[in-house]
Amino acid sequence: MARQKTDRRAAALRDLIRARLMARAVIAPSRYSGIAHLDGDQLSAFVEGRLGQTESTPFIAHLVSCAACRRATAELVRLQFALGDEGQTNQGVELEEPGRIRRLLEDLASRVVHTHEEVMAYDAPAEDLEQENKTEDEEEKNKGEDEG
Amino acid sequence: MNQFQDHLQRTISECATDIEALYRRCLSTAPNYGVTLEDFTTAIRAAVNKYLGQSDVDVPTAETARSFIGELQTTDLYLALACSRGNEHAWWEFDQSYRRYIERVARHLASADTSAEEVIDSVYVELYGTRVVDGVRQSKFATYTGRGTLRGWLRTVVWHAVIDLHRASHDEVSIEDWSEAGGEARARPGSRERSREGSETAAIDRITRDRYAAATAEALDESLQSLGDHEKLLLLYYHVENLKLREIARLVEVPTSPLRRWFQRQSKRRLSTPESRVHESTIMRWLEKVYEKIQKAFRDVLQGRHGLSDAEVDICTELATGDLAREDVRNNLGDSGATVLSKGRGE
Repeated sequence: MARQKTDRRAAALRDLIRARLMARAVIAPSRYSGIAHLDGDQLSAFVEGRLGQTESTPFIAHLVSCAACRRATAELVRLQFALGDEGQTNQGVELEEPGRIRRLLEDLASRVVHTHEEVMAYDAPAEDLEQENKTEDEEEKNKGEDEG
Repeated sequence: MNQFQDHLQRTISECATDIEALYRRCLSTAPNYGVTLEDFTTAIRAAVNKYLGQSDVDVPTAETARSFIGELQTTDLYLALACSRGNEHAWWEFDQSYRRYIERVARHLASADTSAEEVIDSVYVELYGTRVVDGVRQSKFATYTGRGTLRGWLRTVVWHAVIDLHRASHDEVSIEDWSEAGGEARARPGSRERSREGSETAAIDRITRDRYAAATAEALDESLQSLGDHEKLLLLYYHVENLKLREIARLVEVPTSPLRRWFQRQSKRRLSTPESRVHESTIMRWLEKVYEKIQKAFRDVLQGRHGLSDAEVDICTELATGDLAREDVRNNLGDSGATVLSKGRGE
């Protein structure tokens, strides 16, 4: 009987906590976090659990008081959970069509907002393109030999 | 430069040999990325400044900085640095390694008004950078510090891109609109329904009820306030963000997770086996402990300050739960500016 009463009290308090937190959405942190908002780099480092204790103290304080950043971390946790299979990056990548990256970079470079400043779009040819050029040269040479 | 920064810079300089060793290792794997030791050192400096350079904590020792630098995902950082400079070899490697993942995240997040292809294109454009400031193309890659993995960082970049595109097609994104269907989207009760009966009995009831409610809210707020920040965050994740126990377990899965370390500081058994897996039941236990702390503080305030009996405390709890459940949550959230999803600085 006493046990039932204790359980009922505990359940009622939980409901109360939930209702109060839902109504407030934020709680004042124990200490001032000193940070405005978490940027993408900080959000992902936190969600991945990479931060040390000293680093994480102001982050946790900020997340207690900032509903927007906390919600962002919650969404990212859900996303990470839903995607699963961490650590698999190269799975099933097909062989690249030669020159694709150069074309991609050229396309991206063409979208750079025009200014008077000079911008380096890319600074080195990739092996795939070198390979492509080499193949073309060889074909040219073979063609010349055949014709000869 | 203030004294703290000056000290921090000297501390980083003491790690120059470690930084160079990491650079050499990256260079030997990818010698054609065009990243110089200076670029690499500057990026490491920026990471140390960002994560250890908070002025309200002690200046990290050389040992702390060395350990921090050792934890950085330097291979990922090296690749990101090369990509930010537009190196074609690096972009080729990046595209081979991560394009599939970006596509997967984009497809997962794409909605009726945002196609996955649109998201992918937007992410690549942002990663490359189309704005030029002082002659430097502003590549998103330049904001990656290597503190987390490049994969995790990309997941966040794609997530932000989806919000941006969604925002572009709507004026603003409300949390209810955007969140997955979990707890957030459920119907919430309307405005507070107070008794409107005009009788004297009803008025007395209302006054008594309000007095109990005010005392209860005060006691509860005080109890919540007495918790540590990690305990508050756990409650907020569970009750406000509706993260499931298994999702919270995933958040603290990594043994170095800051939240996990906060809770495990209190458990000698866990400290002796830090690698052990955190199950949903562990999170539930953490929550139970937090509830117990709140319950104790709550009763102490109501009984000690307001002189209420056990039975009266129970009445308070029941009355307040009923009242709070009828609150218009959205109005309260609106007051705190929490309904609008805002992105972090500089994003």
